[in-house]
Amino acid sequence: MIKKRIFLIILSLVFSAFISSQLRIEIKGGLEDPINIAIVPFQWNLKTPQQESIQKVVQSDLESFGEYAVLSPENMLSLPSRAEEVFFKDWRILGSDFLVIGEVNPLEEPKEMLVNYLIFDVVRERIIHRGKVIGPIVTQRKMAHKISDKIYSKTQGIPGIFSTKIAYIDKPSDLNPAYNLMISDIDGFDSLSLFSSPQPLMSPSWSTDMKKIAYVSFEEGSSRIYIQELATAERIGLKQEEGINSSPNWSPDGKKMSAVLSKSGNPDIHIYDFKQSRWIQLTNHFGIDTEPDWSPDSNKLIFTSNRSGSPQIYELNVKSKKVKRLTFEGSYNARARYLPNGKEIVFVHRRNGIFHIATQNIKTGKIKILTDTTLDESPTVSPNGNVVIYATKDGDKDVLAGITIDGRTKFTMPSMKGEAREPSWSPLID
Amino acid sequence: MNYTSPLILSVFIHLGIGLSFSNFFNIDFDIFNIESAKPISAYVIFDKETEPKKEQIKIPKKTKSAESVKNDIKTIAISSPDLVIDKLQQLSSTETYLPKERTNKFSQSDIEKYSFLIKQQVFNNWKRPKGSNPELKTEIQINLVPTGEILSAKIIKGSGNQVFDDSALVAISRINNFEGLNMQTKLFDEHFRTFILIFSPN
Repeated sequence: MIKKRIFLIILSLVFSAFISSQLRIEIKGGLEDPINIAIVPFQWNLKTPQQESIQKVVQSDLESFGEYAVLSPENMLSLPSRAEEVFFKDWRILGSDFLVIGEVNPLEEPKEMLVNYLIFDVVRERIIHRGKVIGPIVTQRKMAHKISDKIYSKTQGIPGIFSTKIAYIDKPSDLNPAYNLMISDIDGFDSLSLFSSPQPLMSPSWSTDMKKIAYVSFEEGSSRIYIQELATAERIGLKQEEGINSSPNWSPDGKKMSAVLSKSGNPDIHIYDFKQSRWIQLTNHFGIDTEPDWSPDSNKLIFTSNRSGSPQIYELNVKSKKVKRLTFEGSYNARARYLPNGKEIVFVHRRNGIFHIATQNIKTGKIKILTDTTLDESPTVSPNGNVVIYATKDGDKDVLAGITIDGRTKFTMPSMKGEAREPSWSPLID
Repeated sequence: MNYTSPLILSVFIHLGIGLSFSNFFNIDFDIFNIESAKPISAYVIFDKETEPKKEQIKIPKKTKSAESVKNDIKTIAISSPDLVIDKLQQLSSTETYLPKERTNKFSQSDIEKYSFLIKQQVFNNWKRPKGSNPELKTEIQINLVPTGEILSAKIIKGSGNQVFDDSALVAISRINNFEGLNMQTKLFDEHFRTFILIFSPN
């Protein structure tokens, strides 16, 4: 009896200790202020003069989406290039959250250089990343973009997109009478024409490895899907079917390509299986089904269909071929693209007669309008899910513009000459 | 002979002892220590005395340790002994103004009030990184001294996203010292000496 009692007392003692709870204070949200960062001009130890400051390229990268406030070098109290020269107090006084320093050194190979850089957490007084980039001296911009990417991922927790590219179609203008398939850096620099044709070019789409681009060309009189290798400029035409061949889109696993074919009489969603080299029909409806896009797991496709009477977005399960309507608000919803999280889509939404870029949560159906310009179309999402680039009008001119997914920062793609349409964002590669 | 119940008994006792030594229950043994409780009364003087001074300095940096606190008290005593004596007299004569301290009682709303103060200061110092998807959650255990100075901050449950966890620790480093936590000793010891901050994006 006594034994039992002692046993119970100890048992309750042990468990009461488990229950004793600590005060828990929950902080939700946090500030969305820009991150204050100081990038000290990198020390240049090469004999050849510096053409472009790495610090300036990194600064313009980081400032492009309004996520960083970069301290101007004139306001710096010191210009360290090595860790031992850093006095955290100086940078705290200037309000910096992070500090980046670095130096550029020559390599044995005379045309190459090595950039060593350090990222510091100023508040906690520690190095959070030691990085180095090696490359030909002429590719300084590219190397700077790599550094920007690292800074972004180390301070925002998602990959940076400054080394990605945008493919787009340059429409004929007075300056250039041909259609051009272009690629460029996302800051508009290093643009390059991959293919030029007097007949229309449409719908560029990147392969997952960023080595190829698929697009539609009318060079043979009717539409055909081509795949072009970037490095060799080699082109392969996919098996052409009767009628429309349009909207090619690579699956994220790289095994298939979705497209729209009208060989059965009206436009339906098909996929091209690279292994079997044949087309497989997925939808079969008398309405128009078009503009397919793959879910990040390659199991689903979203597409636009007018089967209900007005263009709306539908989701298709590739295996079961089951179709589910996603958009119900408004009489025009089209050209949808998945966000990389697979939980939201971005598309063109008409409200009060005006075409906007909007996002919708697939589960809740909640729509958020991002842009307030009038003729926005062809949205494409950055591979980190943070920015949308779309085609719009600047007066009479076709331009590419962008907006962050939170709707806070808008920008026009700089230094893009000509008339740019149908942007397509490349994937992320290392 | 039946060894079962003594065996179970011994397992529980040893488990209990083992877990307490590894500080599993988060018992703060300092509160049982009479010596460590002594200086608290001195803080009352110090707090009142240096409050306007604190605001002027505005950037309390990491190096503010127990030593600097001691130094502060010393300088005050030397520069203006009259003032300290004044304050001491005032305190002893106005004992009736501190009835709560004597009854050692505090209400739930007191906890809420100080929790809110902490929450506000953390919120204003926390820059949430872009890549914070809504499911992230970081739990950080904070240890304070009665002045509000943060002794330690330890992640007890990480979010899995290093940058997100770091942003929370940066916010705490920025604060360094919670302002406005002048509360009764008992309330402090029971709830604010050690508590948990939970950071979540939404």
